[in-house]
Amino acid sequence: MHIIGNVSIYLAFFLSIYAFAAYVLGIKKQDQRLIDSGKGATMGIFILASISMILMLVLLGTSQLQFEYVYRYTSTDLPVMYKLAALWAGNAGSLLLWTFFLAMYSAMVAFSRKMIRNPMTPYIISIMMLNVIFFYFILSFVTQPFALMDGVPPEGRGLNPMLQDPGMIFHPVTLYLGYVGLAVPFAFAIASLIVKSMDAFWIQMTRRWTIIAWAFLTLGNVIGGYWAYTELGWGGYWAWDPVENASFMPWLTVTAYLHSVMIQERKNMLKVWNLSLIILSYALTLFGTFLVRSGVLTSVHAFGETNLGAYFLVFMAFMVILSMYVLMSRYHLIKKDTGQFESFLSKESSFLVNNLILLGATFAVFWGTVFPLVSEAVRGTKVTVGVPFFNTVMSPILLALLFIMAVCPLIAWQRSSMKNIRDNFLIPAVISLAVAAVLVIMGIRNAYPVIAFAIISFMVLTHLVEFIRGTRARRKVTKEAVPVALFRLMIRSRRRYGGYIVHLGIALIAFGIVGSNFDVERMETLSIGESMEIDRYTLTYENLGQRTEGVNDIVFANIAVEENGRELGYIQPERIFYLNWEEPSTEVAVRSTLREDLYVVLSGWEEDQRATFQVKVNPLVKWIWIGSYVLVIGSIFAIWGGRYGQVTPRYAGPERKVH
Amino acid sequence: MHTLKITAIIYVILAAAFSTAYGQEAYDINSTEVKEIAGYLSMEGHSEHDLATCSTKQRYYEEIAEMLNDGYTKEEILQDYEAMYGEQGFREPNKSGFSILAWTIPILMLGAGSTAFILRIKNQVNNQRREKAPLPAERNAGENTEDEVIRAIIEEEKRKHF
Repeated sequence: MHIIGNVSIYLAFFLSIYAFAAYVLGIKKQDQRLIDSGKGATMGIFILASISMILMLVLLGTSQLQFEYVYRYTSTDLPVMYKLAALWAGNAGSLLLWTFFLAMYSAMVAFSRKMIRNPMTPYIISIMMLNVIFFYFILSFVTQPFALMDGVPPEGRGLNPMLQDPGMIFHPVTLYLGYVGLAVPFAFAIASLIVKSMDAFWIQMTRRWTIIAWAFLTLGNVIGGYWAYTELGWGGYWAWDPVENASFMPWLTVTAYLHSVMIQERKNMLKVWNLSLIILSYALTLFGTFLVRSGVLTSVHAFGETNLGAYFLVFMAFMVILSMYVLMSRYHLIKKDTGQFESFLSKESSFLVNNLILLGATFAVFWGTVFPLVSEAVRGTKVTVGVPFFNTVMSPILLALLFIMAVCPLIAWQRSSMKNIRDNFLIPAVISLAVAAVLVIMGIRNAYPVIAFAIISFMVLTHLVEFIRGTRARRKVTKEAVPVALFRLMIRSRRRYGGYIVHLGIALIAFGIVGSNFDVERMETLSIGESMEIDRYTLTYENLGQRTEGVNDIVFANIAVEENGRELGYIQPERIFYLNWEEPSTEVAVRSTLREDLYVVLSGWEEDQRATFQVKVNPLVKWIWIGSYVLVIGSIFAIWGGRYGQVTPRYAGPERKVH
Repeated sequence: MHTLKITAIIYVILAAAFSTAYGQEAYDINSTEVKEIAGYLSMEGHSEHDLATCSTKQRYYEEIAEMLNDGYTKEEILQDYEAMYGEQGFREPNKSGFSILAWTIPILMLGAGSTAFILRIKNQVNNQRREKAPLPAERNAGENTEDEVIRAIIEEEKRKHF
């Protein structure tokens, strides 16, 4: 097992070097046999990566404690699901998973039917191979997944209880699929520059890849947020932690990219901008990995201090310098035949404003994340840049972004007029102002929530107007029934209406985030039979109990809940004591409705059974998760195959003998 | 004069006793004022931890409640923590000295980006105007939702028939 594991890693490392060399030589000598050999090696790497992965899963699942990785992250009593999920609990395993995805994506591109006889293919795969070489170098020489212990320990150290959550199964995998997915459009972009193919072919070819990567990044962040919300000690669904910020930054830049590519496809503008955005997004995925694995910043989500970060920093610098060199060397070609803006008031310029705000947000997050390091380097004082900083700086930026999202869909391409703006925005604007007035009358006096709710209403309304206008225009010609016209309108323009569904998802998420700021919290110690009141709820502490689950002991409290005198039933916050872990974990009891979450924590208890509870009422939080579902549905709708709009783009760049 | 002195002393004692007793009832870890002040503090890196399970955070909350009950104002309490821990005692950088860069650089960058954006569009719009006479925006055919929908239907029909 140990030998098979190590051989699969070392062999794949040498094969990736061979594949890269075969592609480069094949391109240089225009020899198809070398390119085909490189493609064979690419498939070989994927097979070897699959062997390593399967082997590691078998070792984890069968508790082969003689392997250091299995010993460090599992124990024999751990449920099988978490034994397998421990694959991404540590550095070596998670990098193995990353490498597997990278090898899989490389093979998918190399053998894609859409890329048959395309001269860009060898260039794309050689760029992806650079990534594969780096990751296999790390797995071979820095953090080895199949390292053996000196002996066979009787028991493993176990998995951190905080990681024993369904979130652990989905969050890292989705996030990695998002991170690794960005390597594909990056490789296409650099390849198109190298072959001097300056049209939008690479953008059209990678549209699905990018949306899928973006959707996975979104899903990864949202699942992580939900996990952090229900896991105590992680600061709620979003705490502006350096590691959270690291995955938020590429999400922001890819969002900007997904908008600006539409301008290039339609108006042949912003070519350099789009290339820069995809390079930046890719670099930020490496920067995020550097933050998570270097330990330079304090984070509850980090892997702990290792020297891995330095390798990622060097690799990131190498890839960025290489990309910038290629970009600059082709700058004169890119600038040729580039479209021009014709008006300040047009969809193109509003997309650019959207990009500006998204990049501004990215920079603000980046600056806030690294400022403690800057401060320490300059003054020797490592200041804290926490939630209040990010809330102050990011709130106006994100509000401006929501406003632009509201305005963009209704502005015409090329040039818009004041009449166009008046016709499209008057009714949504009046209703949104009415919403703001109602909120003020209801007693909300803070400016931010009032403005935010008004903008969110405006955004939802402008999108509804867009759906209504499209349906009406279609009905005028086809005389179809309203639902039929709406359905056909949407499926014939999946990208556009999928995008609008995503926007509506963002509106729901924003609604939940703004609402959750009106939370109330109390912490009280109660004797059995005593009650506490919070908001409209009365909680009566009935008893403290204990049960055993597997090898773990669980202490729980039964609490009867009433809302305005109406009985709602019981909730049961818990504390779990593990056999193989010193610290107990706290399981929150959440009663979730569309209006609010009742969030109860069992803080501690005394010998006389008095217990301390922390109780929160978090308004509208459920809308964050509902909005996330809508967002994912919108992404799937936008990329789903079908008869309309899913035509393979035609390559029109320079031809080569090899492909 | 003597009676006045005694009255004054009794008044001071009663006032002190009353304020202490009243204060003890007034502030505890659930008080809004305590939460507001705690919201400023990094609490030795424990600020993002949960109050329910973090003893350091609980200690800070109790300390703040106690100081409020002793008659300290919010400003005095924050000054006290600043004297103890300096800038590192807070959850956000100071808005003065070197740390002001944390606040201003994002705004400056956004400002610079906006300026570059405006100049670029202005430049290109002027070039376009010099090169060709613009169509009235209302007649900007083929660029609005209705036009796009009709164009898509025509394309669809074309595809069906040819």
